Amino acid sequence: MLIRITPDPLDEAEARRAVSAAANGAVLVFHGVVRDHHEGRAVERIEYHAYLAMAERELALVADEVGRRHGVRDIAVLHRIGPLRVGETSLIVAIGAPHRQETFAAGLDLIDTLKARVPIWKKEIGPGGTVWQDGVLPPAPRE
Amino acid sequence: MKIRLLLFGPLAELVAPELQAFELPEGARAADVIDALGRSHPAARERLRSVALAVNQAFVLGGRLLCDGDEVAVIPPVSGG
Repeated sequence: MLIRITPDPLDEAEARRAVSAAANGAVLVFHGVVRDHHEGRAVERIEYHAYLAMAERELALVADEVGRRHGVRDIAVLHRIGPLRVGETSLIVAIGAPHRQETFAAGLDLIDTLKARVPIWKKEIGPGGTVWQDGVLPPAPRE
Repeated sequence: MKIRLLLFGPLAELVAPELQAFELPEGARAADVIDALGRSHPAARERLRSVALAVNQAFVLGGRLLCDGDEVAVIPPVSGG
């Protein structure tokens, strides 16, 4: 499992290598990319902020849970932080598995769960000014 | 006791960043941090209504007892991806 949060540009080849194996007939690689609009506003840049130590830890937990839910072992998640321009990749998720079905299911589940739990925030910068994007309140833990 | 307080995203801009060492009475619980911040920073009260809490980098419920030296993070709604 490869998990990393970094200010450096993300390397798709690295993510793909991390989930490749002779038994894997399917490799899914997803890019999340900064787009030029959000909720009707024009966007020029997004600044990604993270609670770095916890975000990496939580991301590893998410990848582990998703892997178990879908019976998938080979997972890579790279998340970029800092200022990004429109068109730059903010997230790469790669999943490797023997067959395609579980790669798509696990990939979607992983991204949905990441967005709901991992302590990362988007500050949007556009011609209209700067705004923190609305987010999702993480679920209460089971104790 | 003294905890290390971390604030993120929109909350970090509403509450003075120098508030890193935070004094709480013995027996304080995680949710007491939210109440204390609301009292000292009325402008942040609206944002503080919708937050999660983490102690030592794991999500906790508000009733979690705090210990001296804990790292307590107040986490506004997240928007990664």
